[in-house]
Formats: sequence, C-alpha cells, structure tokens
Amino acid sequence: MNKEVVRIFFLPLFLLLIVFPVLALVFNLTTEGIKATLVDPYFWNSVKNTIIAALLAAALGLLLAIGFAYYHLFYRNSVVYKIANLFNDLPIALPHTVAGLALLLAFGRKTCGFLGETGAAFTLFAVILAMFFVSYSLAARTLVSGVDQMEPEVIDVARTLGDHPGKVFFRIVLPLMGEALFSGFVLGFSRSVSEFAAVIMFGGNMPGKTQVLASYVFTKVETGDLDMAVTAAVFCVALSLLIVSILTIRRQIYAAS
Amino acid sequence: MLQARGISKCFGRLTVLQDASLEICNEIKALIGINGSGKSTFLKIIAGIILADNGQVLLNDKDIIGQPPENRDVGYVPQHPALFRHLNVKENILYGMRNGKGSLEAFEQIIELLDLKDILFKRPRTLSGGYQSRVSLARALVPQPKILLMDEPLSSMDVVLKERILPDFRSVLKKLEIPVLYVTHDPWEAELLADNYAIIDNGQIKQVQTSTEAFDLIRTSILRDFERGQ
Amino acid sequence: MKKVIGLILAVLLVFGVLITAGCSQKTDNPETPNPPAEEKEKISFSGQTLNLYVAAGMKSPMDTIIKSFQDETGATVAVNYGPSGGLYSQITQGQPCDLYYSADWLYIEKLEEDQKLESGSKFLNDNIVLVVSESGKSKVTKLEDLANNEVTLVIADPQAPAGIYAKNALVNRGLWDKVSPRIKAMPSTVNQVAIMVKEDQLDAGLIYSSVANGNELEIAEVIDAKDTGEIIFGTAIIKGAQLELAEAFAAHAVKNVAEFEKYGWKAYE
Repeated sequence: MNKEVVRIFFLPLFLLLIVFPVLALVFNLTTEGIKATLVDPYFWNSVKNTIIAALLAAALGLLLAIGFAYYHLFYRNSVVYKIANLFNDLPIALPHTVAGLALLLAFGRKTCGFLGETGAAFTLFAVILAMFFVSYSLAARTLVSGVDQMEPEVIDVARTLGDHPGKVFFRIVLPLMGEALFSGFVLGFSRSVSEFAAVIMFGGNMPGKTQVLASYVFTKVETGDLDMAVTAAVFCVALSLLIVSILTIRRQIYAAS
Repeated sequence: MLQARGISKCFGRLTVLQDASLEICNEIKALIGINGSGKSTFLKIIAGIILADNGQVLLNDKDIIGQPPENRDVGYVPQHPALFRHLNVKENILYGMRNGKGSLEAFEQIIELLDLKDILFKRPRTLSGGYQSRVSLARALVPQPKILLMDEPLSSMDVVLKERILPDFRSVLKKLEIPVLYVTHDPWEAELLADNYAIIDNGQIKQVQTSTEAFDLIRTSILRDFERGQ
Repeated sequence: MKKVIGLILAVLLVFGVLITAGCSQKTDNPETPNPPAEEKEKISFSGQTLNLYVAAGMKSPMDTIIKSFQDETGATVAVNYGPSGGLYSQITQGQPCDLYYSADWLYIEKLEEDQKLESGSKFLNDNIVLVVSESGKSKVTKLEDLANNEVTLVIADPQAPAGIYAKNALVNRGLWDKVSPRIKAMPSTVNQVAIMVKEDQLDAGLIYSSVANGNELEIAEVIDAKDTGEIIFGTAIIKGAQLELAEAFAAHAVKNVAEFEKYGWKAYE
C-alpha cells in the first residue's frame, strides 16, 4: 500500500513543480525574442564566458573535493578535517550577493592590489572563483558519499599489500569512484552555470569579458525585455541539458568498456 | 613467529578484548569464537587495521604494534574477497609487487598451486565465489608475508564448496611453509584446515589441544550466551 | 488506512494551493461609504490595502511616506521594492498593482504602449553624479579626470537605464573612447555600483545622486541633464487600480516631496 501512495503523488507533483515551470518558459518563446537574442553579440559572449568559466570552476571544485574526500577517508580525526567539515556547507548557506561581496572584499584591490589595478576582481578568473565558491560544497558532499560507499576491506587489503594512504587513494579509491567523481563534476558545473549574483559582484559583469548567461537573462528581465530574457533562459536550459547529456553518454561508454 | 601479548580493546563502553594473548609458530592456528567474541578485532589489530588500546605484538621478535599496516609484512585475507574491481585477476594478484613485495617466481608458484592460470585476464566480477576466494588468497601470498591472517574468508560459502576448498588451501599453505592465523566461528572448518586451535571467549584467548576440547568450549559459550539472551 | 491519509494529504495540498492563490487575488474590499469632497483631509481608507510597487532606489524616503500615509488614513500599504524593469515585468505579467513608482519614465511609456496605464505623471528629477572612493578622491575631481590611465571606473550595465545615462554622459562630453578602457565593472544595479565604490574596490562610479546620498558617497561632480538625458522618476496608476486610494497616496507623496529632496532628487517642474 505504501508503494501506491508514493506513486499517486510523485508523478503529478514532479510534473507540476519541476517540469511545468520549464515548459512555461518554452511556451513563452516568441520569434521576435529569438531573433533579437540570437543576433545580439552580448548574448553569445555571455554564453562563451559561462561555458568556459563553469567547466573550469567545476574542475577546480572537483580537485578540492578530492582533497577533502582524502581527509574524510583517512584523517577524520585531524584538525584540518574537522575545520574543513565545519565550513563545508558555509558557502551555500550564504546569500549569493553576500558571497560575491565576501569574495570582493577578500580578493579585491584592497588586499590583492599587487595582482592588478582591481586585484583579482573583475576578471574571468574572478568569475571562475565565484562559481567555484558556490559549487564546491556540492562536489565535496558528493565525493564524501562516494567514499563512504567503498568497502573498507578493499582499502585494508591494499594497505597490507604495502600502500600507504596516499597510494591507496590514487590507485584504488579514486578509480573505483568514477560515479561519484562524475556526479560531483556535473553538479558543480550545473550550479556554476546558474550562478549570477556572486559572479556579478566579483566578476564585474563586463560584456564580452565577464558577463555570464544568467546575468544576461537577469538584465533583460530588469529592462523589461522579456522576450529576449525567455529566449536566453531557454537557451540556458537547453545548454545545461546538452552538456549533462554529453557527459552522461561519455561516462556510459566508458563504464561499458 | 608471532607473539601477541596482553591485547586490550574497548569500543566505547564495550570491552571486546581483555588481555588477550596468543602465539603462532610455524603452523596453521585456528582461532575459534562465536560471533561478537572479538576474533576479527584481534586479527585486525595484528594486521594493523585497528589500533589496540594496550598490548604488544612481536613478529619475528620485531615490535610491529607501532607500525602502519603497510610496514608490517603481514598477509591479510578478509571476510569478503574484496578484489580490486578495476583490475583483472593477474593485476590483483601482483598488486604487492607495485610496492616491491614478492617476486615473479612466487607468483608463478602460487597460481600453479591454486590453479588460477586460466583466469588470469578475467575481471573479478565475472568470477564465482570460489574463484574469488582463491584469488584473494593468492594476492595475499605473493608478497611472501611473514604471517598470513585470514578472517573467516569462506564464511559465506556452502558446505560442499568449503569441503572442496579447505583441503586445497591447507596443502598450499603447508607447501609454502607459512604461519597462518585463521579466524572462524565454525569448529568444523578449523578441523579441516588447522594444525591446532585456540578459543576466544569473553575477550580472552585460551589454547586448546584437541578439536573435541574446542567443540566443547564453543558449545558451552554458545549456550551461555543463549541463556544470557533469555 | 494509508489511502485515507493519502486522500487527506491531497485535499490539504489542494486547499493550500487555493488559499495561497486566493490571498494574492484579494480585490474585493469591505465597502466604505465615500466621504464628501470637502472632508478630503480626513479621508479614511481603513481596511483597504494599496498595492504599491516602488523602484528600489526610492526605498529610504518612501518608507517614511508610507508610514505617514498609513498613520493618517488607516490604509495598509503592501509595498514591493525592486528594480524598475523587474517591477514593470511583474505588472505586465498581471501581478496586482495599484500604483507604480519607476526610476525611469521609459517604463511608464512602455506601460502605456502595453495599454496597462490608467494615468501617469512625472514626479521627480534626478541627476547622474560622479562619485569617488577613498582612494579615488585624490585622483578624480571631475569627469575629465577619468581619462587618466591609473583610474578605475564602474558604471551600471549599459543595457539598463542607469547605465545608458552614464554612457550618455561620457559620450556627450567626448570622453567615451578614452574612458571606456577604464571601466572595469558593469554590474546590473546601481546599488551594486554604490557598494563597489563604497568598499573602495574602484576609484569612481557614475550613479544617481539619490543613490549616492543614500549610501553616503562623496560626490565629485553633478552631471548636467543635457549630457545624460533627462532622468525622470515617474508615477503610474495602473488600469484596474483602486483609483481613490492610489490617487490619495500619489497626492500624499507629492505633498511630502521634501522627503525625497533630502536625498538629492528635485521635484519635477
């Protein structure tokens, strides 16, 4: 009977709350909007910036998350791990503008003036950093859950065969965590693509240089150009779906071999 | 020769091992105990996987209690084969050689003894339970450890399979002349494999001479636990 | 038993949706008898709620105006602060709004094209000002100083009105080519511009004087309206609004325009 209750509620709720809003976007597309958006050079610039920055941010997030997973597996009682664990969920708890402001104050010209006239702020690197800041936690949580699913005996055996923790991690643990590594990257990427408040504050929203797709949509909504906003938004959705699909297919091919 | 003395271990408020001691010379010794008696914990402490609260472990007169597992020169065969899924059988068995342990001659000898020549390039997930156990054993033996620690690796097998595999294992281990500590809850398994027996009960270890003694003691402790549960 | 629970949950869910939907559609107010015209001063709107949309930049003075209006008339004001364009979008999407204060006359004209405008009036004038940060003070004293290689400038995104005015200022003063490489950031709202200058992350910024005063920023130069284009903050009564209530509030705001002038706006002539 439990199964039936879940089945009665899941599909309608899912369709209503998740699928419907996305479809609402698609149904509101207009030809004028599409035309105007696709010829706008600002639009394509923001697409380019978004893809490059999000991929790099996800990769950076994954690397750091791998480090965190290492501590989680082997050094759970250490001070480093306890502190990292405590702060792990902080970035996503911060309101996005606050996160952007925090990054600006930390890496702007007042502290990092030696890096340039605006410090590290208002550069593509700043965009990547802002995206990384908000998506790292997701990657870390995903990898930790992947590590927790490993059979401890496998790791114990490798240790007795002469591997110190570092070697076990790279020879055994990571290769067996393909699923988690992939999810961590995809989550980080998706989160990065959708970030704009922190990116605007720290990246500067310079068209052609640091403007991302999400803030392009925001500006169009703000100026009342809803047609273009909808087009850009649908493009954003399609792009995310495309990239996730590509990555998923590649992974399935890899897993099957 | 392995000498474990005065091993104690508590998990929270639960005392699992209390001043447990055991000696293993050039023999196959079975450590028999009911579930929850602390036998796996004892074995893992010798392997270095768990840290003891107290005690001493000497392997060939060298104190290994302060050493991490990779420096202890022990072989470990866990309860589940725990083969490396992303490597084939040969790569699994030769894994110790990545750390300079073992030799190709040992490898050749062991795969001959355990009859693994035909499956060297298979992936672990394609193997039956019996074969996986053999690969797990081979993997632990190639590095030529000073002692082999086996944590009831056949516990999930049916009787018929055990009856076939255990004598094979015994002859291989005898041929290699390697000391073995074999932990199990099944006295009959112990009889098929080991030279002599010890019982672990209430966190302490007692040496016994015959299998009958072992059976009796096990029966007593099972009954006692059963009554306690009532 | 589980099926009964499921049924109850479904009913509650539907109820919940209906109630929340119903709340935002509340347009029928309890009847208040219309008071005679001479007693305009003592008009009471008690029990009525005004749906007010206000450009975010006007928040500080508007809060005071709203409070005095509520105290005087007993009406409740449900205020929605946001970017002018965003508010415009909400109105065109059918969100209930009686009175709309826009930071740019452009949106009120758009509302007229969209046939959503009951009546509009020009309320305030503002100017673009050049603000300077702690470090920028010594480098920038007038607009021309921005052409200096060591100066960093921030303006609002030129795709939005505030940015358009800023860009106009530079273009009309013949400075755009020299100054545009000095622009390091173009965030989407003037408030973000203000924060960046306030935190001394850049030397100078071009924002509305009202925003500058609201953030206590130092003003180096006030840019003449002829260089930026006239900046008009306007009032719009939306079609289908509660007319009396909206007009009463608008009049109240006009009466108290001094509140706005404190921040740098000028009443529209």
